[in-house]
Amino acid sequence: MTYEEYMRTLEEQVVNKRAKHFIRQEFENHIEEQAMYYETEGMDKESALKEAVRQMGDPVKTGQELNKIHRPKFPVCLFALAFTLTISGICMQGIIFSHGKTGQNFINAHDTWILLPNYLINTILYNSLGLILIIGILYFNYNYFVKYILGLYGMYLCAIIAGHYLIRSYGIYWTYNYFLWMVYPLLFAGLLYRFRNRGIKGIFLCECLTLLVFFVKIMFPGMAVFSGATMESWLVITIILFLAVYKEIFGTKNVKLFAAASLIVIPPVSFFLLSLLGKFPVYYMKRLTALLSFFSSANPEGEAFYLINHLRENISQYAFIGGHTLPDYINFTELYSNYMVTSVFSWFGIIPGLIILTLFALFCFHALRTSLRQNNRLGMMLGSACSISILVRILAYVLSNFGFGPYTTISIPFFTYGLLSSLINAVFVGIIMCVYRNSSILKEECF
Amino acid sequence: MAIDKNLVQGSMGLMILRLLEEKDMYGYQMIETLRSKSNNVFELKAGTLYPLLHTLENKGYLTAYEDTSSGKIRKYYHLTPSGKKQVKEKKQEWELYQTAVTNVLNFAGGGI
Repeated sequence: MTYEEYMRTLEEQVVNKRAKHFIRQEFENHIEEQAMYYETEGMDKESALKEAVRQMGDPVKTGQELNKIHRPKFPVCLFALAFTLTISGICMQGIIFSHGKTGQNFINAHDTWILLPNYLINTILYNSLGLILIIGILYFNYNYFVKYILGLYGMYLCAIIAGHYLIRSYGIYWTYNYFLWMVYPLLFAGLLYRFRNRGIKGIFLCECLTLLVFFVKIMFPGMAVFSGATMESWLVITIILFLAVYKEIFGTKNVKLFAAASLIVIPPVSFFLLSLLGKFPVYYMKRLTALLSFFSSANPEGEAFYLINHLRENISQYAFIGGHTLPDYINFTELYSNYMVTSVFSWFGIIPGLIILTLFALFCFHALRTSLRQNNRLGMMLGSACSISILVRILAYVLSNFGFGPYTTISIPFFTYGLLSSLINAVFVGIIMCVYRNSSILKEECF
Repeated sequence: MAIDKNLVQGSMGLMILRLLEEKDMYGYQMIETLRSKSNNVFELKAGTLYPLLHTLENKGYLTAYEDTSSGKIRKYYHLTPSGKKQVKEKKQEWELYQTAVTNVLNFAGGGI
């Protein structure tokens, strides 16, 4: 059997194109090395190649064995949970919205009346687009993400600067800023992998690039420098940096690597220490104290805490099933975006609310488990960044809906209304599913 | 003397994992190392090795990465913590089996 015949027969047995590619590469290299060895033993080039091919064994049997191993896997469990949550989200939003006009005290009643006819169509459209995007991302070769990661990082910095100069509306800038911070952990996971196996130097590079993002944001603040989204983003990147060290992305784990990773906590810790020492400007001290009050168990006093005190009082009034009321102290347009959990508990009751929270918990659990179990370190990093990001946002969202967190925009998959929110969350969910689907057919590549 | 294929098959996974306990290796290197360490007893074919390596990788005992430091792209395999645990367990299992077989074969009263 000639070399070409062997390779053709072997490839014919493997169905998946991506698997064919890396199997071919590995077998070609092997035959080449074996043939070179025979040449050093005195064989001529042609005979050496022929003998190397003969030594490979039966290509049909080998190909069939490899085909059994390298097949795409459909993420049945994750997809079923995502689909159930999407349908539940649409139905619950639809029901809540259709009852919104019955005696609720709207702050922006005029806006609500304008939104009414389009609302359900929009939410179905946005979620359908999100679902299409998830299915599209399933077929994405995420190796390309790291191949162009430095270019993407550069584009990210340009996006921060462009936002500063081009966006003039506060509302639009707030949303833009939120989504910029939301996607940074994904970019950071790509950077961690890009500088893999470089030990402490690799960690410093990733930390410096993150510091540069913060620096650019301070230099080009637009209409908001930092927000709750910054804290979410920082928390997620801290977790994935430690995860990367633990999973030996930068080499065999040791104390020095963990110490280098710990540097990421210096900026927030120094802010905290400065505030304790009273070295912080008064304005920032007051904002920090107010922020901490949002998480305290005692009901804080003051106009700023009006909403959270109401949310906390409401907990004891939720019915087990049903309730059919909506909180009149929340702007109606917020009920189906930032306060969906509150709306679900108020209108449908505690048990349906807990079912939804359980579905979210199951989704996060499966997403995180799937990601952490990946052998492909890039898949593991990207999947973990997306899973941890979703988990952190869901936790923040649920806590703020029960009155334990500041009033701020938090975007979670399946339940928050809005085109951009649906699409960006779909990218996160899609990447987790893509990592699972490609676990046996995408291999780490050199860049 | 050639060794029965069935006898080798069951322990091949353990031998591959054990080799990788020493250092990361690529396929061809594993075949050569196995041959020299076993005094030419185990002459593993690439067609047997690669499906086995890919199975072990799927089980999470190995991870693979590409390296170009030698001037060509080589796919190296690395033993994971779960793989290290597997080597330890399988080694104990093998020692137990080996002792049991040796005891039976050396059984003095067993001769006819």
